[in-house]
Amino acid sequence: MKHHMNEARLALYLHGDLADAERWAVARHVEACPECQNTLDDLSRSHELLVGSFEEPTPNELAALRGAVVARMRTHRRGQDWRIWTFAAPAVVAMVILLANLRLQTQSPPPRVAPPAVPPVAMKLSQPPPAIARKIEIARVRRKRLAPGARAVTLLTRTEQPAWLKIKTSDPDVVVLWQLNENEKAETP
Amino acid sequence: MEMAAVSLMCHFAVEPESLRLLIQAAKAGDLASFEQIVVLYERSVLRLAQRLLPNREMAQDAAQEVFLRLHGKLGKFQEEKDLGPWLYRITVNICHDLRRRVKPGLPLELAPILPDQGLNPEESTLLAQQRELIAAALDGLTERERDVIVLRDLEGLSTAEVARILGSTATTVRSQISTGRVKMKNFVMDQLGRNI
Repeated sequence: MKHHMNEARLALYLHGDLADAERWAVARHVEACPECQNTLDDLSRSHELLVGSFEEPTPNELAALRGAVVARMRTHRRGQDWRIWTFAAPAVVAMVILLANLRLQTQSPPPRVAPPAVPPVAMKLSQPPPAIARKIEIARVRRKRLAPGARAVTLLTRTEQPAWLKIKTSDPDVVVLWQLNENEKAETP
Repeated sequence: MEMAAVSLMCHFAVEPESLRLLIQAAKAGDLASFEQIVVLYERSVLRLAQRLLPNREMAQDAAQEVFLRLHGKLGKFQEEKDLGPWLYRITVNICHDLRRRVKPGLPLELAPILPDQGLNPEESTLLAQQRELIAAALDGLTERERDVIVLRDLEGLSTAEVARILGSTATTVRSQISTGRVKMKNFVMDQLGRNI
């Protein structure tokens, strides 16, 4: 026979990787062509050697794999737990501090001791009226009129207590509280 | 217990629903369920790694890495899909990475012949020579030719499945298979001819 089959085609024919029509054509050719039959035999021999050279994993290898995977999984999980706590711990501490503060703020003030009974007239004459907290906003000006970063200035006064200037800045987390001396106290309207 | 697997690459016959429940539980963090998944697939993963990597130590490392990666990505896995092709793909990728990273061009060492294999000294010698021959023949293939030969001729997957696992087309895979088979045949016959 003058023409022989392409080896690549024979290699595909060997394990049924050709379409039906092509497979029949190759089968007919190989039957009549001893050289192509030899090539096919060589391909088959090579395949047999390939398959015979590999073994299944041994039970020991499988057990070692399983043990190592499980051990690494447990280590990984412990690592994950620690990583979670690295982030969670500060959050928990912050939460506890916040709750403690809230609780302190919401606690009712200690009961006041009732002042001795004094006739109203006497009280009016000898004592000033009871202190009333006053909050007077004296300025809420545009940013450009204040120092860079300052947004608003508020004067907080309480009778018989030094006055405070509260300066809000452009950073919502930063508020400047400035205690005024007596001679600095601004005039209140 | 060894039976035809319902799932590709799964060594044991498992009902798809049972497998789905196992995956679901493992996704929820149940380590015991994940261990069962490992048991189902460990043989196939390790076997494939042993066939793709130069030695069995590297194959162990690769197989471990496959299951750790599976655990890490299980959350994204759709339970109704077959885990097999996905595991094949991960195993092939990890073996490539390991082979390139550890020692490029490391020659393939096939499994040593153990005394309990029941072979006489002559047969042992012959088998050892045969393995050396095949290892050398496989070393002569390109990475992709070797992948397709291992997946198609050793793992017995169809051309379409191999194409899907390697992210290629059936035509390309068919071409690589034929080239790989012919190269191996030529090498083996050349070596056998010299030894005669």
